[in-house]
Amino acid sequence: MTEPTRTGVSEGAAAPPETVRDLRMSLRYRFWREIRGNRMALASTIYLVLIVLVAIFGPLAYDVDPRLQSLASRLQPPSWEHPFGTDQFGRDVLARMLHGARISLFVGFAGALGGVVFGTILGLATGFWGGTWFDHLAMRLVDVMYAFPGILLAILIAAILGPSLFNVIVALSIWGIPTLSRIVRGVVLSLREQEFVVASRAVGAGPARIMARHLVVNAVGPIIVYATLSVAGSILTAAGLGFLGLGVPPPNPEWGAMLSDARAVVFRAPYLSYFPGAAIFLTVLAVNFVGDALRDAFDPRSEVRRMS
Amino acid sequence: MTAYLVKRLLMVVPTVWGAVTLVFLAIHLAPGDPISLYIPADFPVNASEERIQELRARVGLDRPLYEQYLSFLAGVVQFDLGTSLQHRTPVSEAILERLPRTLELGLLSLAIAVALGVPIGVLSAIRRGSLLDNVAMSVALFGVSIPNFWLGILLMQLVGLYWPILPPSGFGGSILTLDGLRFALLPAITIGISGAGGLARYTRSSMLDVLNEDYVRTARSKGLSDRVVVYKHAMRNALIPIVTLLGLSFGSMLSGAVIVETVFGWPGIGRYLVTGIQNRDFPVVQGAVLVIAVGFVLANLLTDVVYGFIDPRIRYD
Amino acid sequence: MNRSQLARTILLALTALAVAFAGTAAAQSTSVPQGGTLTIAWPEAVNNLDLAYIAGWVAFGAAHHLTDPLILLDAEGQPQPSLAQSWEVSDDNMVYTLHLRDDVTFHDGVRFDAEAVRANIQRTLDDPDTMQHERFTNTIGSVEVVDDFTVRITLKELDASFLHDVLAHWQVRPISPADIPNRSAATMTEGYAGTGPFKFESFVADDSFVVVKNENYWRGAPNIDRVVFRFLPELSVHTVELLAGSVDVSTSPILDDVPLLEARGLQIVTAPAVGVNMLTMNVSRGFTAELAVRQAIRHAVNRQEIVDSVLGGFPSLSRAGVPEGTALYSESVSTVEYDPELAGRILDEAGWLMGADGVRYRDGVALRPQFLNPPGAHAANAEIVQEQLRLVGIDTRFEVAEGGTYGPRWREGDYELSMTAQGGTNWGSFIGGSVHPDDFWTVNQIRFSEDPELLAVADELREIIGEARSTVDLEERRAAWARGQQLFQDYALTYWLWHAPTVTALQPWVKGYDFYTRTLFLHDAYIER
Repeated sequence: MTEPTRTGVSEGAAAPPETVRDLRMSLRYRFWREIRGNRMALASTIYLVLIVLVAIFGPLAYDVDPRLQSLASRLQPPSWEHPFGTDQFGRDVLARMLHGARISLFVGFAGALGGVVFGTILGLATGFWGGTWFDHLAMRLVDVMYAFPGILLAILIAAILGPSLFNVIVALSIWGIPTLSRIVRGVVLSLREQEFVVASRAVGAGPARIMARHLVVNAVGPIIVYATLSVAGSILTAAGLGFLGLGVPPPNPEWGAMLSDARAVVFRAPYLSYFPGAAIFLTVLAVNFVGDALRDAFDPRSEVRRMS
Repeated sequence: MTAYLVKRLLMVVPTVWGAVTLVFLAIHLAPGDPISLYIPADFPVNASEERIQELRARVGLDRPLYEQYLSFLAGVVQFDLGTSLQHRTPVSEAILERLPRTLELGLLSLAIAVALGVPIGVLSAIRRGSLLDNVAMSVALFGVSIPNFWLGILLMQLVGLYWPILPPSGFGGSILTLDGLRFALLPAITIGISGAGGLARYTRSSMLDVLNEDYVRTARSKGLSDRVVVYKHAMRNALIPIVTLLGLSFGSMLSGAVIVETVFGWPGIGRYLVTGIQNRDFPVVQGAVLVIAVGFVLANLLTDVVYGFIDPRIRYD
Repeated sequence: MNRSQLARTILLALTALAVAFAGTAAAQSTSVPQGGTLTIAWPEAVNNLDLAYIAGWVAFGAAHHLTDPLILLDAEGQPQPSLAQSWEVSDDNMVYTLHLRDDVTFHDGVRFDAEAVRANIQRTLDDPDTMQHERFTNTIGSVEVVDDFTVRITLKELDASFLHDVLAHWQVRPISPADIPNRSAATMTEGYAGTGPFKFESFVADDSFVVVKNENYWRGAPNIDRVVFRFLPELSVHTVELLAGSVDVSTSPILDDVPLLEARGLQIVTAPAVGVNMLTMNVSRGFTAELAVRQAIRHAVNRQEIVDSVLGGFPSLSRAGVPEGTALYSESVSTVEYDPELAGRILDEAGWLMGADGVRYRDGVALRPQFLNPPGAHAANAEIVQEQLRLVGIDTRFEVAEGGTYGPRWREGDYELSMTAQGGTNWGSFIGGSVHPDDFWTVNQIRFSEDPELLAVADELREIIGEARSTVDLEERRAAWARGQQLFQDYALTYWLWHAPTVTALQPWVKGYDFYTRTLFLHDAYIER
């Protein structure tokens, strides 16, 4: 029985053995085929590219200090001078949104990446040594982490470590480990006894080499799908942590923190919540669309669907 | 079947024990000192060092960590979760008082999620590739992409200021009463919308799988009307895997409650946990996490069992 | 009505209240509408109704309606009769004799008498969990019942502020002797019988606290039938609920929403709250151990700008920590002016020179003090201070500690700068001039300094503390305090920022309300739609 995971990625979908080169080609092929046929995914990809460009170049093009306060001109609605208005300390909201894009995307990507890296390592190791005491112990640990539904695990870790940019990323990374390690473990278990792995072992390849050369490569599909969806989850979770006061601390213009701060002036200056709220929402939405497209591209069952 | 059940039940114990141990260790090794809760907030410097040590001794914070841990475990077995440092009331009592509220809110949210998500998913699958499908799936993604506290505040503004049919926030007793239900609706909708998004997506893909199965094709080729095929054959089978998602959804309802309860002032276990974490109220955090973890693990177990009953094809090993 | 007028109105109301209390039970006006339920949005969850245990203003503001003080402090901080009709103090200030009212009963029907007062004081002496346990055991020698309505208290040691700090404190608001044996810290949220204008009805943790009218209240029954305190920690909800009309009062409206609420016809009322917001500076370590840095910080912070913008203009600037109009206020103490150029000059002279990155350096070390803050409003104000300091080249390392971690870190001196506030637990005692200097002057870690000059200042402050504590004469105590305050200013031991009043928003139909100390008092309130 397969169990749906937090993001609904099905586990253990055994991909056919692939080499690195095949994989690269087929990845690109599948992705573009999927994107071309899916307008929402295409639009989302364009949006994401744009937002990354904005994060990189926006603060350079719009050279306004996001920390500079002007209490005399606080809570001003959008105008020529301040295209997105000013916040409760009279800071330029556009400048904060642009710098915030850097922080929020960084938190989202770094948090997801941390979960992917550690989850993959754990999944590889447990899958490779599947059935051993190590596997059992590690999987019980993963079960334990699974016992904290949703954001709870991230809340707990952020609360224990205290609010800081780094700690939020740590919390998000740990939050992502259990799902990914299970996915990778499932893939590895199904590949372990296949000829090409057995053959490598026979010619004396060590565990590290087998993992890197054969197993990671074949688990790349599900990893990419999950990693994408996990970026969306990380950004949302970071916003939730910000709401609870456990997020990226001020004066960093992180979107979640800005949205959380905007609560206090939601009547006096409603637009203050619209900008970061919409930015988070659209980014998460776009990442989810792309993640969906990727899943369709990698899920063998979707082939059947496409043909029917 | 029985053997499987027993095995699954036995696995619940180490999982929960592990979760509790993890929380206990993490929280006790974290920076911050719970003793500050005993000192008046207005005068953080006023308490003398002797008084602080005396207080520490009285609440047992001066004992070695393993002793505190063992006595905590001994308490858990008797459902004695200790005394809240901040409220000074037994944690188990507080949890028993709040748990039903969170469960009621969670069940109502789940009901809303199912009522919205399943029909949307089924319709999307039937009209696959149509405009309706695209719109419905986009809406479903909206639901899972919006930060839930923002959605809560937007809904509260909408209802409180422009469309005053429901109370903006608060708690009106059990949702089995009309007044209680009125208060519960807004937070339940807030939580339910994100759940509905996930359910709709899952229902759609499950439905599509079933529509591609041989027997559905056979039924179609026999000339049965689409309506009969969809509702009589496909949907019944498609709903089976959705049951598994319900268990997990219930978990996400619980975690959604953690934030949404704070927004709407709902006195449930989520809010109890959040204030416990913020105040470093160890017994409260341990107790609430224990109960949420047990609830979540049991919900998953129950889901698997139900799944086994309705789908005899499942083998237990 | 503008704000200063309002503040004056409140002062008048306070005085009127005190006068009403001072006289015999005020005759109940029968012309005001009776009945109704008043719903109040409360900014935090109350988790203690029993004022004997740790109780902050949040708990007091809700629970004080259940009880009465033995002695009431009026707007000037002068003691006035309440449950004690009169009292005598012996010439050596060691024996206090209270004459009690003989017409009061507790909510459970038990008679209020001398034995009840003794039992309540004894409770604090016996139970180490009570808030004032230490103070009581150090100060009180014996409590005797002289006759049914007379109590005599003999002190162990002279305590100039005993009347204000102990007898008028909420710690000794009597509860029924029948309840005392059953009460402990574990029953903090359970109801009890007091003598107050309202009786306990229900308490739901994290949700609400409900009280109902005490028909037999000794000053006359209140007009309102029920008061519901709803705990709504998310403050934006207060605005929604006020605008929707689903609550009648918010004791903590968002200051930025005040103009909107006023425009919608709500009453905005301020009441002076004694306490002070400050920027504490740790003189024992780091950059703030240097006098020049502390002085520069004080001149670089524009507190008037903060008050006028984010604080809605409500607070008044502090001269030296003591609010104007209170007994220990001295005009002779110097104050601090905003002068960023002077701040820059002080730093230049001390060798802290502006670097190309806008941060000051000396010998290659950047001027980056650690800025630790508690969450919530203090952190928001601190964000402004951080930016103001950055503009003169002081680049603070900003940190927000969570509720539970801030207290111990602050107490242990794990900060260089910190934005915080202190309030007297007893407003009247502040006004009456009995605030303990050791409550007030332990905010800078001076005890742990390694600088001999500062250690000498610490000794001098300690002497002043002892002097103030044992000086009964108010003028002499004020003089001692002025010396202490001036030392604080001279050595820049902390930066006293402002005194913030409480701000309350009420629906137009709520009338007749008063403020007792800084909290809403609803005995005479009524609802007129």
